[in-house]
Amino acid sequence: MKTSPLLSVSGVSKSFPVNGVPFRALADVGLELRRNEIIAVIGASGCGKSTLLRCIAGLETPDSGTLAIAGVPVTTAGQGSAVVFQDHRLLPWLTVRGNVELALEPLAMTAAERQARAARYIALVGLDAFAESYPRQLSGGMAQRAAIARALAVETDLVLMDEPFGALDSILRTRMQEELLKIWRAHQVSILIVTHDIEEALYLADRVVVMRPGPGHVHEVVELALPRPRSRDTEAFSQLRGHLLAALAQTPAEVVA
Amino acid sequence: MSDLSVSTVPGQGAAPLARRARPARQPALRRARTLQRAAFRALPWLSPLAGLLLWQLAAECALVSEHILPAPGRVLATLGELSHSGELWSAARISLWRLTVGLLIGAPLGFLFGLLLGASPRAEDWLGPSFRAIAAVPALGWIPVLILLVGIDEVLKVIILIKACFVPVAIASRDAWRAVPARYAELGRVLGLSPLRQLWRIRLPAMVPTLFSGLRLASGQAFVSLVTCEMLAATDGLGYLMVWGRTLFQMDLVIVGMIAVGSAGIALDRLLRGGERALRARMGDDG
Repeated sequence: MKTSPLLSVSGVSKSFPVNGVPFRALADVGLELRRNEIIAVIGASGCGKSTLLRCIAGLETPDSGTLAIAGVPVTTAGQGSAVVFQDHRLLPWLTVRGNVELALEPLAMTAAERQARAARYIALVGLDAFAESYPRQLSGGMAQRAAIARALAVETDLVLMDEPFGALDSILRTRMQEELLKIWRAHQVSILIVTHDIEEALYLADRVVVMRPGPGHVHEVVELALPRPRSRDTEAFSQLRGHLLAALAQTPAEVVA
Repeated sequence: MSDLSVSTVPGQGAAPLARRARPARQPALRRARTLQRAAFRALPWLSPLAGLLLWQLAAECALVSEHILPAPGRVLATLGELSHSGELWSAARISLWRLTVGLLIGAPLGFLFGLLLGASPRAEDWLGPSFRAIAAVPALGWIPVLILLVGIDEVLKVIILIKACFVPVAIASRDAWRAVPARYAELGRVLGLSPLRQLWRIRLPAMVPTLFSGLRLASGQAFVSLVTCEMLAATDGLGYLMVWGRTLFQMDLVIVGMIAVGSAGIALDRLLRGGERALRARMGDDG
């Protein structure tokens, strides 16, 4: 059990019609995520990285292939994983506390337990003073923190993040990445993060999965042997950045950074 | 929370500036502001007052026969008489009772039917076109047929009103269901909420604003249908009061009826608006 991967994806293919023409978003994609590991999936737009995340989250059903979390095949959404979207997706009519508690409603727990757990995770992301605030009263960074608290509060082993910091400015993004690592170290969760930001992938991940489009497939998996905490201006870091840039660049015009 | 503290800095910087500028300008500025505010408050009363003035003038110059357009004073006296004798109130009570019954039965039915049309493309395919055809015939178009079927009793008015409430609420519910952002529906799935919980905790709250505008539309339409229905086929109610006045050629009665109907319409709309505001405030929306 210890050695078996938390998430295993193999032979996953998915196409859907775009303007009546079938578009092959994923073709024979396979990857594994070990426990307590952070994997970053990077790639140009149209490489299928978001479709892959949606398949793992159970929001899309692949045409073929298998997806399993802790050995259990993924059949429906909300099973074995929690998701952080690019937009915070907090419900505007609920407070931060209400939003986090809503995620706990399907779990078998009393109202008091639910409240206590929500309070703990709201404090974890540093929003204790804003538990009774509504989403529109929060800044972008605070809203995304609340969304992370909501995902973590469910205490699934696997957290999926779809460009979670993509809408934040670069200073805030860097700080959120540091906070995420802090939480990850303390909480022993496994994270699959989809991003188009090479530096983000290099800063956060144990391994980087490079995907390429046409149809979407895994081009390369790069093991990052960088010690933590990582600095963004070491020789090794910039070397890996160059490597990933080259791996992404199918043709020079399609470089995404 | 440094992203908070950063955002407060410009505010602190701007405050002394504003304070410095104020003393010199204050009296003139304040006078202008008060004047402006008074003007804005008076604005809604301007056109009714002008109308009243014209009316009084027309009556005084005897431009129109008194039998056709009685003077405002005369109408006011009749209003006083009717409200004193209780005739006006009993007519209003009967009309409001009919309206309430129509809303209480028609709106929930329309809501459920609208949810069905919104949630199920098959229901929309099968029932949608016939529903739209029925909806296109005004409530009053049903009166001749309904009189023959159910007679001229209370049932007739209630059926007309149920229909008048049902249609706009059903349309609003259907549209509100469809207008719930897919992102929210997706969130419900990702959180693993049961379908009932997704409906209760995510869909319905997201639908509230559209639902309320539908409900207000429904009550407005129902009220119009009610008065017309009472004018055509009733022996009591505000609409009947107006018809009665017309048959007796007492135009002051008709105008009193119009005033009562207009006021009740405004009151109803205000009531629903207040309800909507209270609900939205509870949901943390101060907009």
